[in-house]
Amino acid sequence: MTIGGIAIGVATLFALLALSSGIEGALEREISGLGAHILLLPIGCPYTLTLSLMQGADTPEFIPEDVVPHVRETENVRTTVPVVVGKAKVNGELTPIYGTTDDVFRVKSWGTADLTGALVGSYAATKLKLKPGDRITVDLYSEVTVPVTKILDETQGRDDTFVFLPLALAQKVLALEAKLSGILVETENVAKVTQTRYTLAKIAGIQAVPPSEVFDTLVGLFGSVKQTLILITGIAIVVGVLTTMNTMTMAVYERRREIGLLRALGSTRRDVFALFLSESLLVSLAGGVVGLALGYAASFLLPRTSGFGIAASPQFSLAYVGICLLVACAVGTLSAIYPAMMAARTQPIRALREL
Amino acid sequence: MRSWNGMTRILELLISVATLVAVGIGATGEDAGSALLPLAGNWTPPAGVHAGRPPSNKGTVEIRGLGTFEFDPPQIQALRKDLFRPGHFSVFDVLASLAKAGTIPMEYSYDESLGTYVIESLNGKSGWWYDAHYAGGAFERPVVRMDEYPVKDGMAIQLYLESPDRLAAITQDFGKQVARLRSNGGRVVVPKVTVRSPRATLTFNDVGVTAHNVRSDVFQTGVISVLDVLLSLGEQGQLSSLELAWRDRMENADPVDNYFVDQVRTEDYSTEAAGDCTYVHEVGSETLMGFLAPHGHATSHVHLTADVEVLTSPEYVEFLWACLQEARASGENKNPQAKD
Repeated sequence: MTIGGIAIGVATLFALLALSSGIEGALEREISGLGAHILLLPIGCPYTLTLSLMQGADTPEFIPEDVVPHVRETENVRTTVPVVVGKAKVNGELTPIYGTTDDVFRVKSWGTADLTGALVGSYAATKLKLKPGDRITVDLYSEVTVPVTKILDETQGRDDTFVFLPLALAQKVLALEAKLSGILVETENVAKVTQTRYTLAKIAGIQAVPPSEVFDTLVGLFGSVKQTLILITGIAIVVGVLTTMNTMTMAVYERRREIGLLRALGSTRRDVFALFLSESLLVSLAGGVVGLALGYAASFLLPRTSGFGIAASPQFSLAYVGICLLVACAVGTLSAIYPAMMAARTQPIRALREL
Repeated sequence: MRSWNGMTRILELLISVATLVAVGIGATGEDAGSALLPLAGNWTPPAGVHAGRPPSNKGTVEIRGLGTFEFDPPQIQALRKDLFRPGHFSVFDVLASLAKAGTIPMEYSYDESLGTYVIESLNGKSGWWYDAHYAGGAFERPVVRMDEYPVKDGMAIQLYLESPDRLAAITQDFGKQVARLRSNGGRVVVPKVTVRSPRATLTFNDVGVTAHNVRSDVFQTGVISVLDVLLSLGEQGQLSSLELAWRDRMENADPVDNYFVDQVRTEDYSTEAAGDCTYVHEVGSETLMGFLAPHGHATSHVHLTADVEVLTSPEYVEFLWACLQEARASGENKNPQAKD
């Protein structure tokens, strides 16, 4: 039961660390995967709009396409990538589509520079059973048929789920003629991103947001949830400490005659203290190992999502194993101090009288 | 899974507030007056003091893939005469009038099981949903029946093909609301009402809600709104006072013409009516979890205020304390172009 108590605390901690790391990693991967120093978005909540852009979800607000030349002319702007996203039926299956221009090849490394047909993400290709040369029908408000020119390599990000189309075709399918979901901007000089951002934000009808700001905000929001989880983990660990302390205290009471005998045979108080501390540490370490196994299993059972609609797998590291075992040892030490002191203070004569 | 839903819920609430921060709502209210209830023991605000301006100017509705169409309010009659007073009408009425005039190819019918008019086909396609916001606002992807969303001057309306999953969740939620209403013999009973503020969270279960006809200028007598939840709680002795503020306009938003809930008091709890702090609300259900947009707004809870959102019989109603001035300031600092 003691091992179980410690195991639950350690399992919760391990799963929390692995999942938090996975979520933060997924957010960072997705946001950096946008390939932009600045995102130009329609007026509205920048976090919703950025997430929509990443997920290929339809947005309620759009940027007029005629702002693109103004963006291109802005100082320090190297690449301007107009984008429309939405979900359309690709061969009858609802699939996120991403319409863009050849400029996208400057910010994405796809091993091709041909956007005359459809570039299909690896996951989408598997799901839709597509190979280069196939023709696909893309349908929502209008229907178009295009050849698949390349299946993209797996990125383990959202790009895997998209079908990338020439901008005009995607706009036709999504009924977004002369409208954009967003614009990706790559700058010449990264040190001047802030200045460029404010210059771009002066263009009417758009807002300029650095992806790093969106990342920080989303991680911050997740951090609030993480704090709640840490609190729950803390409670589980405190319960582990109390359970172990209770077990060790009971052990001291039950073995007081043996302790008395040990003391009578020459064991010092320090020996007795060390004996109980070692036992507690061993029990806690055993609980820690069981907890690691449970935490590993639990982190796969939890939903693999960041809560922002971004898939996130738990990320494990040896450091987390070390942290969890250290916590288990700390639990063992903390919970053993009082019982071990009690044991060490046992008077041999009084204990032996009970024999 | 439930605990994860709870976590997602916290995330959604946090992100809702972040949305306010981000969009920088222009919320300096132009108060034409406020009412501290109860007045002489009466939980109904005085009738006839404030009235919303009925829509009178021509407006437009954009239907994706079909075009943008103009409508003229005097030409529009409400299909839901059980809800709207003469001169007022809903988003759906705009579409129905355009269809009747032959301007748009739309077929529709009333679905008893959902308690609303539904679009059977529009431009030969099914699966339509809408986005709407009032003057000075931004689209919020509401989960409000289209024939209950009142139209105002300067309103923006968009129709688009909704994702099948979300549309199914919305439909299922509407169906459950009607079923709940029927199972309660036509009485509106909200299983869970939550009032959240920085100081405390109040939870009330199985709250019976009755009409107080606060917006008798817009709605017919007997129509129950989200605001009636608080007024009913007051009548039932669960709240000791409630402050409603009437705002004609809010910075760049005009007309507004709504009551805002600025203060809720119980015997041992009170919120501060400081600055631009007020209550926004959300009406939702478990069915809608994951389908609330953006970020979990079950309803247009900033723009479609509690006094003009019709209540059928939802699973929960939540009032959430939001300080809009701070939101605006933060939004402006972060994003000089963002306006709501």
